[in-house]
Amino acid sequence: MALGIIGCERSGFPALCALGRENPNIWDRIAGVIPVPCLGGVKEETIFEALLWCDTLLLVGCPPSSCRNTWGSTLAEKRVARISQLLEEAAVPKKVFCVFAHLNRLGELKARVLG
Amino acid sequence: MIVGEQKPLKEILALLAPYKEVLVLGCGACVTVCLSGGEKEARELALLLRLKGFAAEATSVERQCEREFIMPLEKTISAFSAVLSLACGVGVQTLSEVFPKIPVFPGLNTSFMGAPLGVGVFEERCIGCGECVVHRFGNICPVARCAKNLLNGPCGGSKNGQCEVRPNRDCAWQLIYERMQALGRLEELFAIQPPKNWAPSRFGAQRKIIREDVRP
Amino acid sequence: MSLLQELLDRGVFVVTAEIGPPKGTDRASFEKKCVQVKGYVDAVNVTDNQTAVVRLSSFASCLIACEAGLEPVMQLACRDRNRIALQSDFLGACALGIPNFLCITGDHQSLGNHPEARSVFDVDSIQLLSIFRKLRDEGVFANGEKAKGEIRAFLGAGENPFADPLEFRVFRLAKKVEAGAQFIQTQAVFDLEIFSRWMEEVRRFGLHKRVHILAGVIPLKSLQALRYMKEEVPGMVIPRWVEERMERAQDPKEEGIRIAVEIIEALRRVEGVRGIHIMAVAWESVVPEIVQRSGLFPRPMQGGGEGA
Ligand code: SF4
Ligand code: SF4
Repeated sequence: MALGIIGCERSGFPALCALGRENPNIWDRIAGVIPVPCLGGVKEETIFEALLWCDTLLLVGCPPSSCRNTWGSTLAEKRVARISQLLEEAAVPKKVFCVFAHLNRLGELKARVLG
Repeated sequence: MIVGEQKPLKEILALLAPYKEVLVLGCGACVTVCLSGGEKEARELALLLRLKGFAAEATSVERQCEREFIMPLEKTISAFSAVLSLACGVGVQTLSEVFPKIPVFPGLNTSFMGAPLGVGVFEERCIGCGECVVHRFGNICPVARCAKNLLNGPCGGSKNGQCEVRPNRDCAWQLIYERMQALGRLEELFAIQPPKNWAPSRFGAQRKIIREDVRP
Repeated sequence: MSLLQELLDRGVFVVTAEIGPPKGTDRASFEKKCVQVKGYVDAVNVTDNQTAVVRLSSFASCLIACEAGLEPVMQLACRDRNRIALQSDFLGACALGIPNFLCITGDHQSLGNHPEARSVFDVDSIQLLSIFRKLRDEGVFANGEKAKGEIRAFLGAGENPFADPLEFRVFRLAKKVEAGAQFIQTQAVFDLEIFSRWMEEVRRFGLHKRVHILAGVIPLKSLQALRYMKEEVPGMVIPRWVEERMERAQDPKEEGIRIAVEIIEALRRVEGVRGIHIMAVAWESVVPEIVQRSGLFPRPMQGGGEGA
């Protein structure tokens, strides 16, 4: 199962690196990482394109309450929900999730990455 | 503008099932504004189709309803076994007229002629009845906006300004009444409106306009 | 000749009732309803696929009512027929002796049992009234062509004093009168205050002298029936006191009848109300009791008095 990650440079990406220092073997599962300035700017198209080379895609960013752009993470959640629904409708066996993380909050990310 | 919404994905997939190379064709006019069939939507849909195993590509033209904008696609289209058009029903038909050999499928349900009211909200305004009388009603059209196209006042079901037929739909006649009252033209509504002439409407026959004055 | 018209012209306080045709060809059940109300009402309204639910046609049911010795009011809705069919059915009904017609727009099909049907609404109730009036009085069709033969028809319409915008209601009534309505049957009255205010307006414009107004009455069978009407029936206003009484009632049916009788008593005192129209949907058997307890029995045809 190839894992793809789109990570916000402020929180998601550093969190992923921290997790990697703890568990170096996570890199074996990860097929690719795309750093972005904010999850809010990730278009549907980018998500679909990433799904062409991975099976599970995580959008890792700030918890909605601490998003620098206020609505970034919230927007990402909405897009992910819509795309998940489309994938399900089309019976495409791929998954997209929004994961909220930062250096002091690795739990959710860890669970998703390590399965 | 013409407002449409994308067909359910299941339906689209069923339509395209016999084909592999599919061109998703967006339209740059109305359906771009209503966020259902523009270039962005075409690209997203093409990617989704690729995830599903189609050899799908996306492109878009300025207006699919006009032959001139479609004709340059001749070369592009020949590489595909089917086209999914994200234009309104007019675009779908023009496309098939220009390229009669390639199977063309509608990817949208063309819904109505209306206006965007806010982000992601569109509402019907006109049914193109062919003989406009909207000025008699304070420019709020009961033909298009009253569920029973009543011309002589509200039915007995209007309540709290809402139409009896669907929830969250304004009663056109409540709006007309308020507008005419505000304009001080209420008494115009007391005149009996005769039966409407539906001959110029779609109930007559297919409409066609020939402007001899501008023809060569 | 319409007996209903004759009684109204004579100043009799009339009683009409609504009976719904069956969902099928079961004419026996319809005849039974006719027998139940016979002698207690001056005319019966036969509904036309009411609430957009398919039933035995109003036309055919009117003929059955005639055979049963009742005078029918044929309801004609604009939802299902265009001006061609409406005029044709009107002529047919006149030729077969149906004397009264109630022109209504009709409930929207999406509220009925064939929500996928296409509606017609070629004309509205007001336009229909004027078409029928011209056909009767001037002998011309909607297109101006001459029609053959004499037509007798007593024309009516519905009106809902309780729907929004309230202020427009009386003007709409005026339009109906202008278009040719000779009698009006209103939506069921529960809120006497709104109704009285509406009647005040009606009198202010002198409309009560130009049209016979029959106030609608619905006997409540149960609290559920009340709640259903309050929530589901468009344009129905039921004040709190009615609900409270139905909530408290030991015998809801009896309470429903009592409320109906009280409302009728109140309506009889409203100047300009010329009769009542009882809509005991799916409870036609209660009509005789209501008529009796309201002191409206016997009816003139049974040798009764002339009423108010
Ligand atoms: S009257 Fe006819 S043309 Fe005018 S706005 Fe209404 S539907 Fe459109
Ligand atoms: S409630 Fe208003 S908009 Fe709806 S059918 Fe009645 S008059 Fe028309």
